Amino acid sequence: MVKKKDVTKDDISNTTVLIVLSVVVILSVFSVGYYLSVMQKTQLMKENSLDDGTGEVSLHLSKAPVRQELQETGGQVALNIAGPETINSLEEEESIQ
Amino acid sequence: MREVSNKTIVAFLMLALVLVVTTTFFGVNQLDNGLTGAAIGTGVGTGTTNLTVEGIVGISVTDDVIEFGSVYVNGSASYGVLDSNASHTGADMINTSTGTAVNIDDWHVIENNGTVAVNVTMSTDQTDARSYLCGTGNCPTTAGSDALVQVFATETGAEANTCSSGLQDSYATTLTQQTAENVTLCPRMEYGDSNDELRVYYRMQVPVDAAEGIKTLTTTYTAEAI
Repeated sequence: MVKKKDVTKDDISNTTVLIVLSVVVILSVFSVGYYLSVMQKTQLMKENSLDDGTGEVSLHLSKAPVRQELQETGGQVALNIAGPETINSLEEEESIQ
Repeated sequence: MREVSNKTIVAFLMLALVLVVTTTFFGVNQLDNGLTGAAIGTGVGTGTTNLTVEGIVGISVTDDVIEFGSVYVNGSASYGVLDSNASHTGADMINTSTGTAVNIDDWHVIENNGTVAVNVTMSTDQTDARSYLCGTGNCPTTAGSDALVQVFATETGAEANTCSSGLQDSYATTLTQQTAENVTLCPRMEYGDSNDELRVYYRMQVPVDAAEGIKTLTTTYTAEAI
């Protein structure tokens, strides 16, 4: 046989505990939901406060052309043209002989 | 099974209540810090309503290509200067096709197409000017000591007062020989249709011993609501 516990003035009834517990659970659920929705909105605002775009700068670096320095060394052409005086002197030599 | 006393249960309940209240408090604080737009009614019956509409940040690069073409550095100089703004003078950079000095006038156009004033900064995809310009050869003779990339912005006559304060209208260095820097082009770029456009120009110092090849610099313009 179960012995019935004496109820004193300090004891809280099970019904009261159950009601308070239910309130706490409901508040907790709402609180977490509310917090998450605020975080989501804040994140969305942060994302909306930034934007960017890109551009491009390009060049094609090529090799500088090699400078062509040609040094032409010309050959020597010797030309000896006998002038009229030379011819005369030859004729004179022949006549003497 | 041992019974839990009512006092213990009450203690747990109180703890749970405190947690709930604290969580709610932080949630509301977060809301106050970052969210506007709530209508605030004052008075009864004939109250006025204040509504702050949150703006939208938007930036677009409507002309996003600057092309210097095929060029080489004059062999008698230690570096050449490329400038995309025709009114500035480049030096010792020769166009490969024409054999004459490089002279182009080309720019990026950035437009604030949002509904709020923004702070505009730029950055590049490179870590430093030496690795960008010297390439794999690493500039064996000069060590890339003169390698540099600079940037500046202007307003056009048709879009005057686009930058209502602090326009970066002289060249600022974004890539030094060994570092990369973000450059603030305009701390307050307006968004009205007649004053929401900036032109951005680039200047580069190319070492004479830089490796041949295509050098592409991707720049990112970032707008942040102010």
